[in-house]
Amino acid sequence: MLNQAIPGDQPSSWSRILGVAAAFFRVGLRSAIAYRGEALVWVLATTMPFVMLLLWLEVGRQGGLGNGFVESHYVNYFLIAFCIRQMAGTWVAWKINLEVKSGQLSLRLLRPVHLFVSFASEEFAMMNFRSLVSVPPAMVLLLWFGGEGLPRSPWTWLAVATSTLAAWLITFFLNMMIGLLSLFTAQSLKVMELWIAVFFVLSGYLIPLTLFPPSVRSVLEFLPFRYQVGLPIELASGALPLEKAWSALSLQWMYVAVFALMAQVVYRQGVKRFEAYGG
Amino acid sequence: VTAFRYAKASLRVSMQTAWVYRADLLLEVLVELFYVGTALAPLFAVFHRMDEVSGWKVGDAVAVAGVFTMLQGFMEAIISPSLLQVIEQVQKGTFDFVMLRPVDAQLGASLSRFSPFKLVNLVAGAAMVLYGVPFRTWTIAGAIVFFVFLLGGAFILYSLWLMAVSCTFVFGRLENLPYFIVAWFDAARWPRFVYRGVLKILFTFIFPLAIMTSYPVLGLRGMLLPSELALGIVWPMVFLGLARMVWLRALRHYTSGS
Repeated sequence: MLNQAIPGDQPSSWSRILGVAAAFFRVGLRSAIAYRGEALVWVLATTMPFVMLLLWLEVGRQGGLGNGFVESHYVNYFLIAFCIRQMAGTWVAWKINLEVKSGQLSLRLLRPVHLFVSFASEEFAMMNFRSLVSVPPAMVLLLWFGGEGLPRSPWTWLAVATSTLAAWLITFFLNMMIGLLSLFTAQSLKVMELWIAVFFVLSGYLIPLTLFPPSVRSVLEFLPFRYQVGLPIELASGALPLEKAWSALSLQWMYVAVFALMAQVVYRQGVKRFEAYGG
Repeated sequence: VTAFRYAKASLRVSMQTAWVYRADLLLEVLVELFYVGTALAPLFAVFHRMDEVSGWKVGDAVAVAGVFTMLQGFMEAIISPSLLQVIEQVQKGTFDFVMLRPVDAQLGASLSRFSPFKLVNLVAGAAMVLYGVPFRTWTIAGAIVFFVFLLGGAFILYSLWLMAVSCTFVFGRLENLPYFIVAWFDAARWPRFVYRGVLKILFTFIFPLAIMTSYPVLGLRGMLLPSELALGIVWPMVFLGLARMVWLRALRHYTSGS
């Protein structure tokens, strides 16, 4: 497949990129399968939604969530939160930091596609594997314990799928941007960790946004955190009907574009420095 | 005595390394304070809705989060730097050098590296405990139980880590297993009321989060049952013994790099 990737092969350059991306995807998938034990450990380490579910159920049962409290809504919300996090999560900033440190990044830069494509296809494969392992059991739990009030319209589920993809893209470009900052500072994971700490609290991952006071909520709806995980959860759990979601969905794609652009800028500037070291 | 001198020497080396990057100390303090803030946010999100959940008041819950932060500091300052290094050494085969040192391999491996700045968490955690349970309400008995149980919690956490690292001797590829411990330990920031039924048994006996963080606070407030007091004293020792056994078995699987 890679043999076809002759630079300057202009007429089919899109199919070339796709071909190379597919090759990376296969490599990524195989490495996910080879390290399946490790991948499974990562899935099992995603405990937060379950702990938060138990916590909010306990608070709800004791009347802390008002009279409108319905147990199955919270079960739906957090089981879906677990699935969406598996699907829309990527930790590629760590990988980049490692590759910058070890110098492996220069090998990657030699590959015949844009750096983003090569990382994205590997990460996408990893994400597929993680989803394959984690989503079916979560779905069984969902149908067993909750399930009530889930949206039935195929359009809503289509919106969930695109919104999950957008969430993944935002997280991916964010990771690329912060990860590539390591080209300037040698180490950028602290920045990422800070982001994640805020993300946990403000994205709807641990605390559904409906539980925030309205004034805070209207601010949170403008910040990018919700669009990394919260919006697809709200759609899929039925907390946000599709009719009311259009502006949020468009804002989400706007964030995709913004983060892609910022990642590209950091990449451009960073690679110049990287070359200056003599890579 | 050798062990003590060994620990002192490796602490000195780590301190010197850390001092080289002393500018990082400020950053570290700021980051840790920030974490404490974000970690407390869900707690206040719960307790601004109700004054009490299953008999737990906000102060007690903050104190539990404080104990959690202290244990986390202990883990990040001492346990994880040393034991993560072991995983690396096993993969490279350089663990030979640890085995050659004139101290017990477990001790040598567990005290080989420190991250002194992470001890900031101990201070932050202690401040949270004092905020949750003001000092004037402390009793001598309560304080003794608190410190004994805090130490017990540290022992259990260390034992869990040691067992996870031992597993990587046998299954070379599961190098991220310690993160599994970290992720599950994270649930210990909440008081034990979160778990019911089977989960309560699981998190009291098998993965004893309740003993690690809820018991010290309950002990401090004089709210532990006699049976829980006994369990809190016996269980850390059981875990230490178990971890020692697993470690020794795993060591037999180590095939040197040379």
